[in-house]
Order: sequence, then C-alpha cells, then structure tokens
Amino acid sequence: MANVIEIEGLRKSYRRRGGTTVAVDGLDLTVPEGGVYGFLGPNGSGKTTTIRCVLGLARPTNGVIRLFGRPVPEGLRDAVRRTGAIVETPALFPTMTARENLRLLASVDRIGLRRVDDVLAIVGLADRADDLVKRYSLGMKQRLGLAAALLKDPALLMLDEPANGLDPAGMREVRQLLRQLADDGRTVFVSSHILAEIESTCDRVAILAKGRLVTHGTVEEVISTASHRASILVKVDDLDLGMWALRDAHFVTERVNGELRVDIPPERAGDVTRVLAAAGQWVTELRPDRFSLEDVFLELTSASDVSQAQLEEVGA
Amino acid sequence: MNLLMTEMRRALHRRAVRVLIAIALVGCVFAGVIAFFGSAGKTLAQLRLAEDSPAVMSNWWIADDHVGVLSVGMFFLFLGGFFAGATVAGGEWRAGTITTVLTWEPRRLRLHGARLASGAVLAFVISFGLQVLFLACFVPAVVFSGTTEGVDGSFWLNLAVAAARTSVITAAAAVLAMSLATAARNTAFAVIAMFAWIVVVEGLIRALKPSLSSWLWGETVTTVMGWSRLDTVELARSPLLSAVTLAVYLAVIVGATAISFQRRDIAAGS
Repeated sequence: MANVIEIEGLRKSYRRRGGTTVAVDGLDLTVPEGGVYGFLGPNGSGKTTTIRCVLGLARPTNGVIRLFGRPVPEGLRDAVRRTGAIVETPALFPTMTARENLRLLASVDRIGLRRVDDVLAIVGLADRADDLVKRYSLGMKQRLGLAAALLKDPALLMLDEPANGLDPAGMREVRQLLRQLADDGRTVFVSSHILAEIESTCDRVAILAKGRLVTHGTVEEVISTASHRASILVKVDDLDLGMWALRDAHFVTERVNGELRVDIPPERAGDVTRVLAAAGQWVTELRPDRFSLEDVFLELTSASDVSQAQLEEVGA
Repeated sequence: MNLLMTEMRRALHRRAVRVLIAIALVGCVFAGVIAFFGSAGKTLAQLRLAEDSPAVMSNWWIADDHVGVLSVGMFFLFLGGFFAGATVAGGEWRAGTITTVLTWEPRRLRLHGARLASGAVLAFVISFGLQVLFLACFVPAVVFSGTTEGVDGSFWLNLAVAAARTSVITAAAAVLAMSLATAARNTAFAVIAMFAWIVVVEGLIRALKPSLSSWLWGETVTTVMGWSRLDTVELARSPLLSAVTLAVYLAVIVGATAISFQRRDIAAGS
C-alpha cells in the first residue's frame, strides 16, 4: 500500500517576542492510502500547523514532507491537484453565493460546472446554493468548505476540524460522508479534538501532544497501547463500606462517579461479589470498564513527558 | 489564462470595486448634465472664451498644452485605482480566502503574478472605459450648444494616447496598492502608507531638498501624465525618463512584495 503523506522529522518553530514557540517538534508520520486517518490532539498540539506545512502554507523549520511521493513544496503543483483541503474555518467569499464561490474555484482547475452542482448536492446545500455565503451559518460554511474540497474529486481529503460548528445531526452526516468517501477509495485525513468523531469513523489514528507524536496505529492498537488496567465497575449501596472491604481483600479499588472501579479482569468479577457479599454489600450493578479512545487520548496527552516550558519557550 | 480570468472575476466581485465604479458612473453623468445645462443658451464665442468648456470638443484634450477636460478625472482615476487595488488584495487576507486559493494554486509567484496582472488589466480597461464614458457624456452639450471645430485625426489620436497614458498610470496605481496590501496583509496599511509617503515624506523632501524633487512620485507621475517636462522642478526629467523611473520604482516594490509573499507562512489571521 502506497503512502499518501510521509512526514520525517518535521519541526516548525515561530519567533515570538521573548523567544521561540515550537509548534511541531520532530514529527514522523506516515499516512497510508485509503481509509479515514484521524489526527488527534488537544488545541495547540500542532495539528493545524502540520496540515499547513503539508499543504505548503507554512515552511517547515526542519524535516521532510512528501505528498503522493512528491516533496513539499517543490512537488506541490501536481500533488495539490489530487488533494482537497479545508484548513481551519473554510474561507470563501462572503459576498458571493455558494455556487459562485465553487464555480470560481472550479475555473482554476477547469472543472466542469456539473461537478459544482454534484458537490453541492453531496453536502446537502443544493437548495441554498444561490444564497450569499455571508448569510450562511458556521455549519453551512463547513459544508460548503467540504464541497469545495470535494470539487477536484480528490484522492486525498485533508480536513482540519471539519465538524466545527456543526450540530449533532450535521456531525453525524459529516461522519457518514467521510466514511463513504473513504469506502469509495479515497484517503481522508481528518484532524479533530472531538474524540467521538474520530473513534466511530477512523480506521487509523495518530495522537499529537505538544507538537510531538504520542502514539499512532489502528484505533484498536492505540487503545491497547494505553497503560490501562483491566477493571470492572461495581455499584453497591454503601460505597465507602464496599471500598474498604475490597481494599482489605487487597483489591486495588477507587471510587469513580458513584461507582467503585476495581482493577481486576472482568472474568474474575466473582471474587469481587464474594468479598462484597461477605461484607454485607449486595451488588446492584457490575460491568467491565471499557477504555475508549477518549480515555487513551486524555491519558496520553496529559501524561506526555514533554515539558510544556521546554516546548513553548525554547530560547526564551 | 485561467488563473488570470479567475482573479479578474474575483476582483470584480469586490463590493468596494463595484461601489467605486458606480460612483464614477454617477460622476460622469453628473458632469455631462452640468456641461449640458451650463452651455445651453451660450454663444460659441462665449464657450470658446471659457477655454475649458466641454461643449467645445477641441477642449477635451489640448495636445500642445497637455491639458484639457480629460485631465479633470485623472486624479480621481489614480485614487480609485489605488483604493480598489488595495481593497482587492487586502480583502483576501481579511477574509482568509488566500488560504483557500493556495490550496488550489500552490505556486505563489504564479498566483501573485496573476493577481497583479488581473488588477492591472482591469484597472486599465475600467479607467479607459470611464474616460470614454466621461467624454461621451459631453456629446449632448457639443451637439446642442458647442462645436467640433478643430477636431481632426490628430486630435483623436492625441486624446486616445492621453487616455491610454492615464489608464496605464491607473493600472500602475492598482498594482502598487495590491503589492503594498499583500505585503502588509491589509487594505488600510497600503492606503495609509501611500498617503503618508506622498503627502508627508514627499512634502518634506520638496521643502527641505528641492533638488531631489524630480525623483519623487508626485513629480514623476505628473510628468508622465502630461508627457512634458515640468518647469517648476529643479533638474526636471524628461517624460520618457520619468516613465522609466516610475517603472523601476514599481518593479522594486512589486519584486520585494512578491519575494515576501513567496516566503511567508500563511497562517490564521496572518
């Protein structure tokens, strides 16, 4: 399988008053062809800067980027023809209608006008196509940005926070659309800090924290890389009494949101119920504690050993 | 060519450009109406005596004196060309559409070149068209009250050359404004910088070091506009040398801003 994006040792720093801000610090990333690739990270982790560097909008301080095997920025001319992108909030001409905006972009690459109508229909804006963009809500602008990105019928879609401003129904539609586009054979590279958006849509993810890659792989692989313990969640009438009973029996137990989390594999749940019963605490609910991508994300990004001060104020 | 046409359409969609054109159109019609009623009932002798009456067609451009009715609109055309150019380029940065465009055409110098070329072509065509319309609005005054006496082939040629020269300078003003607005990433900088330079800096140079006056934008543009050496300036330059000077100034500014655009990071709010 070919790689559509290859990033080696990407570093991007900005000179600021009083020092240098490092936005991306030695990032290595490979995005294979096909599927939805989630690019995760908290705000300020360097996701948008990375996307900007890949698209030639920002010049890397160090490192090598290849898009469709072509070096960036030298080979961008050809690579960009196969790439549709939204960077942050889609910026289109507010005093033009959606259709006019798309027609204008289409004329840059000699794309037929029929394609404009097609993409407007795909993103559900066909009936508002002749409204001025300045009258659009943020969600509608996002859809229009997506339509603009789809105009070239691209092999790669790079979408920076595409669900920003969308209501839950809109988010679901975008998720389904991204999935559908990937199933059609495209590569969808999507950055987000909304974990639910990624987990249910992506095939592979990379997690970025403070400009560095923390982990990457399939969603399952990433979840399994977290230092999580197998555990179960138990509800009893008296949580304090239950917790002390379990701790006395040498179970690692903590109180979490009105429940007890016991570090024990779900298949040994019987040992827990036996101890609690002996203490006169009847179990009212018991279930395995499943880790989500969000748990892993929070664990990895908060436990990242990268010093914020080191990253943000190099040379300050 | 595709990119050039796209940039022209984009520029023409700017509200400020449309408003400026609308103001100019209204101004032309207004001038025509004033000329018509101002010349009505007057004899030819009275109109000729007035010297600058647009009802006397030969007054439209007096080649020997390098002045005429046409001169009235020149300053406004330069100003309009400059302001429109600054708005077109500055508005791109304000709206963030520069990012979108660069994801379609990543070759920045090509994009910048197409943008400047589109600005220059539009400014030239609009400026020339407005001058034609401006003069056309005086035709009723000529037909009903005035005269075409003295109008021959050379008159029309001189008039066309003068209008073309004005259009070239308007195009240069638009390109200059687009370059400055691109460098500063906003419209206001271009307008304020140019105002500060022309009014304040050049004013000071004129007062403190008159021998440098012939190098200034103001004198250079005036020389090219009238296509005659200025009598009021020390070491005045010929029209051709002034045109070359203007071209060099423009080339330096365009080159510097193009390099800056090529190297700059296009970031949010940049």
